[in-house]
Amino acid sequence: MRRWLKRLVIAIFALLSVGVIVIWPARVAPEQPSFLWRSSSADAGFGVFGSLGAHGIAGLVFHTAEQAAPWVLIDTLRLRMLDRVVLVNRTDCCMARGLPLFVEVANHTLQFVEVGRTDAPFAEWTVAFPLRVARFIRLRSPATTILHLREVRVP
Amino acid sequence: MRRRVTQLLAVGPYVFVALSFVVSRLVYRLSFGVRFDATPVGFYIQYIDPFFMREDLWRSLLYLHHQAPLQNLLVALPLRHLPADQAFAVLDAIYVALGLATALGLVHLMLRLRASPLLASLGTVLYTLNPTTVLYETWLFYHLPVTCILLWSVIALWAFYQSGRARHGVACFGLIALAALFRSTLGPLFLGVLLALLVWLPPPWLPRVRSARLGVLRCAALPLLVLALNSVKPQLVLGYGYGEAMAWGNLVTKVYTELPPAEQRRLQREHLVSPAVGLFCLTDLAEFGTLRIPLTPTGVPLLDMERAPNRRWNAHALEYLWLTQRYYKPDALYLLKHYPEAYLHNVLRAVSAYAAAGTTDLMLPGTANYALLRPLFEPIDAQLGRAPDGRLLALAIALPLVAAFGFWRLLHREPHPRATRRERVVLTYMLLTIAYVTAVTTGVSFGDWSRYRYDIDPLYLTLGVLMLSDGARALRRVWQSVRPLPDAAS
Repeated sequence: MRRWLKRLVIAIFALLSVGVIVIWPARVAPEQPSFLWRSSSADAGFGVFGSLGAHGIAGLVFHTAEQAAPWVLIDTLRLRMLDRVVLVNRTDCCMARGLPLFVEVANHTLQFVEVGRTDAPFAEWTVAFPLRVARFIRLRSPATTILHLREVRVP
Repeated sequence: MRRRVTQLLAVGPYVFVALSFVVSRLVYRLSFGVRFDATPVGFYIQYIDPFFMREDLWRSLLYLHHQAPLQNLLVALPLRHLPADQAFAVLDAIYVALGLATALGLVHLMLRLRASPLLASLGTVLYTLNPTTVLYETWLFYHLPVTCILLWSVIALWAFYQSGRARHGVACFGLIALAALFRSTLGPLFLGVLLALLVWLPPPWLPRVRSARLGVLRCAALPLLVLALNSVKPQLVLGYGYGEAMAWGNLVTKVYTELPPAEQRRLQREHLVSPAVGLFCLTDLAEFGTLRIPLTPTGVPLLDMERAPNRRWNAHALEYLWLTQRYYKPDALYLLKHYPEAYLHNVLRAVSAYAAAGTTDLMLPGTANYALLRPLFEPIDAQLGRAPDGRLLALAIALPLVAAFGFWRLLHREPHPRATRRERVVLTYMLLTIAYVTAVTTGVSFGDWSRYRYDIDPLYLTLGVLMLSDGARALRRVWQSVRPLPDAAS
């Protein structure tokens, strides 16, 4: 019985090891840089669309003009289970821009649900929320301001 | 040296299958961008919302009334202890492991049943490389665990009849119970049928038939008890039968959708059926409008909450059971009584749809991997004679053919009586599993039938490879018998 149990444990361990070997290269392969974004306006050499992998001035990935209610829509390219989004702000200056900032997520239907908001300047903000199916992330501010970030990470 | 060559030949098929599996999975992931799809957890009715998994798991599983508990438990355990991305990575690794276990189990079963090693390896590798297999393997749903467990239950049964050891018997019955705890379609009845078969034809190794039969019963006792408890659980804690909320609604849809629109309108106009017949039985409660039934809260979040905090509708609320009792059950009984031909027509349509490609499904086309793999499986399906409704000509011929071959092989006597009984029992179990899964899914479900066939595809494939192996052997015998004998003088 003990030998049989030992064999079973070894078999499960071996199978799981193969599982890890197979999924590991795909997990470490960069996916996020290919996430696409669109913005309500552009400034500082940025366009109104691009990818999160392309950094421009001051290491930013997007930069809207100063306008009323600016927004940036990020497409993570497929439905996924999300429970947090990490936003990295520029720290060289202008951390108070884009406030108050609302973070919303949506699935294919594009019916956005607010999952986080902040009125305080931040260097890095992890927006945690109950696990949900989503593909799109929208960052918006109701104020007349500028939206720019250095990084948007989707775990 | 000779012994070493024999050993190498014995493990060759396993190594070939394992290597093909690993290489193909890396190619699918790195070249085609296939990723594990965990999104079903977020919106399929088979899952309780992650909120319940994290906040009230054990009570939610206790009150789960139309789904088997283990798939939810499998997802909930990593989700409760790890951040979501790590939890889904763990599940991803488990699903890859299950995929490999299925592939190795498949080749092992074929070899045990005396299939040609070459054909067994080729058949398994074709199954492994198939994009549809990859699609199911990267889909966080109960199909892959059930497929793998059912396959290994056949292997455990083989081992039980080879060794006569109780641990193999317990493993066989335990695996069947495990499959039934993943999928409500399989239940105590399924295990009971196998038990009856094994009691009728007990393993021949024990000295007396009576003690062998008692041994079989002893092996089955605990798994059967667990399954029976799971089945009576909703009756005990809620007062309603297991799976009622889904079964009656499915039966209503099966019959009602077969009726002509004019007849549907007449039934509604004359109040012979309720207005609920037009609604999917587990749809958002808000869609039931005035049909809704106000209930006193029970104190169990899973039963009381209409929606999870993320606004997703909770398909496990108690109100669904009440709606079933008030509307779907009487409607189903009325429709089955007055339109049995419509029900039969739907069942026949379902049986015919069993020959559809595994990708012909309502839910799969919504997944990201479906879009990625479509350029691969569509040309394959076209070669197999795909009809506009998704049925494949090749499968329409092959499935009944291999099932008929299974029956033929079952009745075909082999010279060794012990081998005969072992093979007869294993083949009977495989055919029973095919028949049971087909009968239950076509008899109750109103769609997605080819998806249900996925669970028993390895059994069909095993029979198919056995058929080819036996055919090749028969051809070789014919060839040897007609070959002219060498001239004695030369």
